[in-house]
Amino acid sequence: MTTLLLILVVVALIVLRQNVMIVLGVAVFLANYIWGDLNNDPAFVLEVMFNAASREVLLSIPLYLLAGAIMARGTIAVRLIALMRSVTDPIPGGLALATILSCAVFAAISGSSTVTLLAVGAIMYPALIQEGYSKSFALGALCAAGTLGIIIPPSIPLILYGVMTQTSIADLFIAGIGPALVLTGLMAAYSMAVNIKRPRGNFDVRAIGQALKSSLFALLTPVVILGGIYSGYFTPTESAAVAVFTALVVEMLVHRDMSLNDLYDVVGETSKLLGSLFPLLAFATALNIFLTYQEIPGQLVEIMTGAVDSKLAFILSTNIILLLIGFVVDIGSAILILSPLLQPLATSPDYGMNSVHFGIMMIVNLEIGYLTPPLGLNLIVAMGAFKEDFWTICKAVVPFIILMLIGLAIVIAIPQLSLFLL
Amino acid sequence: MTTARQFLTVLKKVELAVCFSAFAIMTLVLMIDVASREIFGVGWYGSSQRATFAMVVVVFIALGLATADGRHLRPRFADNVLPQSWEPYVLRISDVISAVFYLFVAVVAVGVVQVTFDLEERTSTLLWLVWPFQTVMVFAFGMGAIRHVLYFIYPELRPKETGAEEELLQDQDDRGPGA
Repeated sequence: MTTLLLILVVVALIVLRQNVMIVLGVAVFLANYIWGDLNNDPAFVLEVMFNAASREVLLSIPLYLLAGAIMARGTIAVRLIALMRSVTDPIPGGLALATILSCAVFAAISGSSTVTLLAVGAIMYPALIQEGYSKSFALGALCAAGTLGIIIPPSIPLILYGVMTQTSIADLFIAGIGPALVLTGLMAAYSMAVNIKRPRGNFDVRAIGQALKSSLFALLTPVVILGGIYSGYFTPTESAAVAVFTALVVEMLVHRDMSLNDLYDVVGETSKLLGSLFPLLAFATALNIFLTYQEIPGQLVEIMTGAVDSKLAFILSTNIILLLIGFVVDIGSAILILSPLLQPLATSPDYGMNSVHFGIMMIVNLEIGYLTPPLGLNLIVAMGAFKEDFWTICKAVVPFIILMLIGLAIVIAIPQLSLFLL
Repeated sequence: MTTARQFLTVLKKVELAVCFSAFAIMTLVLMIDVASREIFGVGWYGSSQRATFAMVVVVFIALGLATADGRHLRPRFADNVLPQSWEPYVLRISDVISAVFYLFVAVVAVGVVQVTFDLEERTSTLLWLVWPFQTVMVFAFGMGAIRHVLYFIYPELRPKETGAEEELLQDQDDRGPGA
């Protein structure tokens, strides 16, 4: 009866337009009050929340977000696109390939799918249309390749998964490389295949050299960030601070594309993002700790292993659930709430999945949610950015959703793809 | 209403300034740590904890900035459950619920701060008193409650709800194509 009441309260709050943080906060306070044994004092929830928000491991999130925002504000995207276009010009469907590669490289810098879509799309969408590529292909390619931002490190969803499940963030970053290459490869191959008959340009060494010179510092940034982490030279947190510093030096001193006022705006925007994400994270942690005290994850494992007897069935059912959730819930909320419940299940002896592999699978799966109506973030962004009808964009992304499902199947079937570098 | 609008504008400016300063501290402290390790072979003692507390300030103060710009993550799939004609009433009820929630958390936070103040609880590495940092929760949730009370009284002050994506689009429109 009390469980039903709690569910009703949550539903009522959602209907009455409350944000996820408040819905989660009320759920935590109520659950703690009803089932909290000795600790049903609400102060306990707040203490846990404060401790959750003041963990050193979280330091990398605001810094990566800030670094990405600084680089998105400057001209790094323009420079990278120029380089990709000059390199892919001699290949059939070169501009399509340049679009996918530009998104992948910019995603590695900005860490954000929507920023990638906007920054690259603003330049590549008109260029693709002008060169005679179909509107459907251009929209689909940009929306889908924009999502690569969340699997290519440094990725905020990977950090959130690491924080919530106590999985090494550095390991998750390294594990993201293989799947990111597969997804990029699939999209690139498809883009070339459907545009194979397009005229190709000449191989112009001079143009490539000029583009390379112009984008040298832009390229240096991901090398510094990712090279530092992968070589073990920096921790993810140190790497995030270096990323901010590098981005500031490149944009303010080298490219001279950013003023102090711009920086103030960028910090403000990043702060707003943090203000919506972190309190949610803190309440989700409080809920997670409460559930652990109540031994809920252990009970879930018992129930699940009783109902689902094979690893394959578990993986299938989990992926179907995640795909459905991706339709209606944003990726951040989904990871914060679901990963502490699903990860113990996945890594239990009955299913025996590696925590890092499960995290990568979860994020590749939820990445598809960026492209599915009614709430696919990239669909909504593309609708506004390219002034196109919502359903035109929905139809345009269908081939790419199929490609991403193939990519997801590969990631699931070949754990070594994620784990070979660990 | 003018006073309320002015109050909200000043509050937002103060919150932005605090966030900018705390962000600067966070980045500088970590950079000094990395640089010190490279140059002198040893990092700056307690740098991570310093940066962490700067982060705590940013994230709780930024809660108000997110509210001020309607940027909180919200599930929208149930928005059409109630008739559209009820929208103004739903929004006002929504503000009341939010204000009550924020006020409740602020009051609980006062209790938490009181306990750590009495116990003189300190951080593990730097042995800083914890309660000054915890007061940021009281401020953040207290101001959240005041904001929603003002939105309830003056609905025209309520920010238009925008996701990050809409902000980005607006930003891109402002800067023109290719930006």
